This record gives sequence, C-alpha cells and structure tokens, in this order.
Amino acid sequence: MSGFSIVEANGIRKEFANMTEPVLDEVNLAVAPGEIVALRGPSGSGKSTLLNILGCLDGPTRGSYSLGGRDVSTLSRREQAWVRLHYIGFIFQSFHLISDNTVIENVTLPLYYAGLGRHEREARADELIERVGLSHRRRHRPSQLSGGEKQRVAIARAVAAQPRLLLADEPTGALDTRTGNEVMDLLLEIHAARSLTLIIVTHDPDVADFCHRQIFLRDGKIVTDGSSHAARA
Amino acid sequence: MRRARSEIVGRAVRTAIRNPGRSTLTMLGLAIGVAAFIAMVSFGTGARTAVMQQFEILGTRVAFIRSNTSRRDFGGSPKPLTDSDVEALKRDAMTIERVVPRTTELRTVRSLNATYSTEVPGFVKVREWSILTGGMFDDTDVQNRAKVAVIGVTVARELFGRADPVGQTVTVGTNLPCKIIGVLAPKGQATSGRDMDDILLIPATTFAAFLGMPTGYHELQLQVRDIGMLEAAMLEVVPIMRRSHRLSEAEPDDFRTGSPIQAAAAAKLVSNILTGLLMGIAAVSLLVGGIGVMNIQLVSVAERTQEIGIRSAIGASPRQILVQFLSEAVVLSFTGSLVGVLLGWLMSYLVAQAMGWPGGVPVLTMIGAGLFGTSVGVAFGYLPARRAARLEPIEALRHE
Repeated sequence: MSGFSIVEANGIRKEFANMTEPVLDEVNLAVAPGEIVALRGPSGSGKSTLLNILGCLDGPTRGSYSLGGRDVSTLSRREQAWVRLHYIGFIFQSFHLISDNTVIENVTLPLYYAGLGRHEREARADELIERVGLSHRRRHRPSQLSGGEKQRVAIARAVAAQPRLLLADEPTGALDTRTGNEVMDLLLEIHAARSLTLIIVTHDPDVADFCHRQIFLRDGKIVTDGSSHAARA
Repeated sequence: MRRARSEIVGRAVRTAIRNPGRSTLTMLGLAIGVAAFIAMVSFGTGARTAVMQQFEILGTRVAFIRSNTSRRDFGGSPKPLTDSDVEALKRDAMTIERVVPRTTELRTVRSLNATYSTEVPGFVKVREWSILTGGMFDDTDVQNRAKVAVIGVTVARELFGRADPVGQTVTVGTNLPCKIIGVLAPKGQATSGRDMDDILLIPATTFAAFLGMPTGYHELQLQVRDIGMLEAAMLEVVPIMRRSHRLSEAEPDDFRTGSPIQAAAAAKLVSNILTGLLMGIAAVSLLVGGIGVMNIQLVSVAERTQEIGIRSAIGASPRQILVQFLSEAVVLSFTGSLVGVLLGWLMSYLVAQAMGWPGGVPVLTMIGAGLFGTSVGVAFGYLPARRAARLEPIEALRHE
C-alpha cells in the first residue's frame, strides 16, 4: 500500500476469554482517505469485531492500529471517546437511536458532547435533517419513524460532528431492498460531499457493489482484498 | 460554564419527566424520609416547648423548701417550717429576694347559691399569678389580715356560673367571709394532671388568723433574685435551714428543697432523648430513601445499558456519562427532598394544630433536612452513575 492511509492496522489479533480460537488473526489493513471499503464474509468471520476495533469501541489483543497516522490502539478510555467523537461516525444495523429523544435531539447529541452551544447544534442538525429529508419529522421520536427514516436519522447523527471515517455495520440489513438502496444512495451522496472514508460491513453483494474495494474475511483472516470490479469478476 | 450546567440539569429534568414512574419511585423514598425527619424534629420540639411552657407557668424563679416527712423513719418527728425559718432565710440568704410561707388545705367555699371544695393555700403572690379580672391583694391586705380572696376560673365557674364574681362574697371554711377582689388568669392543667385553676387565694396572715395554723407551714416558697441564681440559692438555703433547725452534723436534713425548674430540666432531658431517638429513626428512614435512590438508579443503569453504549459510541466520555447519571440523581433527590420538606411542614402544622402545640418548623431545620436529603440521594446516586460510566462501550451496545 502506497501513500497516506487514514486507517492502518498491523498484525491485529483479537482473542476472547471464552473462545479457543482468535476471532481475528494477523489482520493487516490500510485504507486510503476517501475510499469506500466493504468488509464481507460469513457470520463469525470477524468482520464486526474488526469494525469495532477500527471504531475504537474495542481494543486488539495484539497488534497496532493507527487512525490518521496516530496509534490509537493503546489509548485510555477517555482518549478513545475523544477519537470516536471527533474522527469516527457509526451507523448500526439496528439504528441505535435513543428512544426517549426526538430526531433533533438524537442528531445534536454528538455536537452536545463536543461542547457546541445549543443554537449552533440545532442549526447544524437542522441542515443535516433537511439533507436526509426528514425536516417534517424533526420533533418525532424514533418509535414514530419507519426503518428507512430511522437509518437516515442515524446517518445524520453519524456525520454531525464531521468525522473523517464513517463505519457502517450492515446499514441496510434491517431494511427492504428499495429502502436499502435509498439509504446507500444517501450514504454515497454524503461520502462524496464530505470526502469521508467509508467502511461498510455487509453480507449484501449489492451493497458491496457500491464500494470501491471489497475485503473478504474467513475465520479471522483476510482471504481476499481487491477492487469491487475484481470481486465481481 | 453556567449555561453548560443549566443544560445538564435541563436534560436531567427532561429525562425525569419522560420516565414519570421511575422518577416518582426514586423521589418517593427520599420525600418520605425528609418529611419524616422534619415531622419528627417538629414533634419533638413542639412537645418539649409545650412541656416547658407548662413549667414556665409555675414560675421560673421559684424554689421551695418543704418539711421532710421521711424523718419519721428515723424515729423523730418532722419539724414544721416556722416563722423563725422565714426570718433566718430573709436575713441570711443572699440569693433570695422573697420568702413566702404557704400552707395548702382543701376547704369548703360557699357562695349564696353553691358550695364547692377547693384548694386554699396561704399567700402565694410569689408565683407571679396573672389576673384575668379585678386585682390581687397587696402587702396592706396581708398586714391587716384582710378578708379578701382571689379565685381561679374553675372556682368562679362552680360558684357563680357565668356571673362576674368580683365584688361578691364567699364563705371560706365555716365562718370566714371573704370579698372576691379578682379572678386569676386560666393556667390549665399541670403536668401532674392537677387543675391549676381550682384554687382560692387569701393572705397567709388571714389564713393563719381565721383558719388556724397550729403546726407551722408546710412549704416555704422562695423567689430567687435571678433565674441564674437558682442552683446557688438551693445550695445556700441548706446550711441556713440546718442552723435554724439546730441540726447536728450527724443528723440528716429534716427538710427538702426543690424547684419546678429541676422537674423542667428532667422533662427537658427526657424530651431531648426522645427527640434524638425520633431524629435517629428519621435519619435511618432518610438513609433507606437514599438506598431506594441507589436501587432505582441501578435499575435505570441496567435498563439503559444500550443507551449508555450508544452514547459512548458517538463520543460521550466516561465523565460525561457519569455527570449525566449523577445530574439525574441530583434532580430527583432535590425534587424528592423539596416534596419531603413541604410534606413535613404540612404534617408538622396539622399535628401542632391538633395537639395545641406551638406551631411552625424552624426554617433551618427545613433547609437542613432538604440539603441532607439531597446529599444522601446524590451520595447514593454516585455508585450507579460510576457503574454507568465504567461500562465497556461494546458490551453496553450489545446489551438487549
């Protein structure tokens, strides 16, 4: 891999106490800024665990991981939180919106933790909510939204703090095909507009086809790593 | 910074409002604890004040010397208190302002229409009687053995019904006609249960001259110069009385001294112990309320584990999670304590009204109880908040 990598993982190994085999074993990965990468593989192959490590939600048992050129695999919990807030946005299969909060409250949450004032938070969030087409749902709770709307709120929240890396775990997994395609279109649109790096865990080959690059994992190891064109071939 | 604090509190308030059941349960324990604390302090203070007021009615600068009848057990006869004792005390006791001999007997008192048996003591002006109507006899009346009387409201009611007794004449005993010159202000019931308004006062000299006093007085009432001299006075009179009674060193006192203040002090001590006990119970109930806060907050953390994971995933630091849950504990504890203060005040007011105690709860007690309740809630809310802050983000996210 040549040039600057926003994500660089070297020799990542992840073991869990209750499992005999490592979930990830000697994973090496580099992702360039602006790249869209699909992590694929069967259930239990370690792709979600890898995504959690890349998102500083979990740490590797061994190996190093750099984000934007800085080693983040040995950071304290407080420092990891700071990195998640300022560098990373998450999108989950089950949306993970806060059910008590309205759409605007969910979207402003990262900005609240970043210390922005109320007016600035709401102005930024309103802009994003409008962009994802939910201005009319601003004061609604997640329980009042459809699956596609919830995921659009989650996307707005994920990019609210202007992260450089967007991590999506099965973003269309809970949606029908048409809604899934709409969500992917939105993701790609935001990716293009904000020059984000996007890493998507997916089982869905159609979703993977949206990506520049596809990485296949099996039994905790990367088995193939290539362009979507090559993967299709 | 102030805006950030108000926003944290605002978010905590919104969370509390959005979970009314959980919030009410959290606040209930503390509210009851704080209310119980205030009520207990108020009940204790009210009861003590009521007891002290009873004693104050008896006179705060008063002591007495009584003939010690227990001397009979030693084979002697009790020595009555005499005028020579009175003279010795007046002459030698520096702390005593006045000495008044008193004798008390039940006598039949007749008016034109009714006959009634009441307590007829010797002259007892020393007790600072208050007058309802008319007046009190003076030194001239005492010197002249005047046939005048002042009666309590119970005697007035029994003998004259609703008519004004002042100016009327009553016959005390068999043949002592006395003109009523005044009616005493009502004193109510003594702590012993005796009706203190069931009394007829005549000058001691009149009593001695017309009702007879063969063996001296049964009590000498002493009015000390100052309330602070009471203890000293009671020590000072002992050697004077022993000299007056010509007692040898080996002989025990044939009199005894005492004061309503001593009884008041004993009652105050008992009351203080009771108040302390009640406050202890109330403090325990407050702690139980605090444990309630902890339990509900722990349940809240368990219920909201995934929410904590989501917040962590989007960048909330452990400290921000801690502050969030702690601020919720602060809001709930403060509100619960505030409700408790209002409830406690209301309970105290109603009980004071019902019991006829002096009402009102000291403001400091209410503020103190409210702050203590809030502190207890916050202290017990810290553990759940810390638990929330220490959750591993990925474990919390996976929690269903």
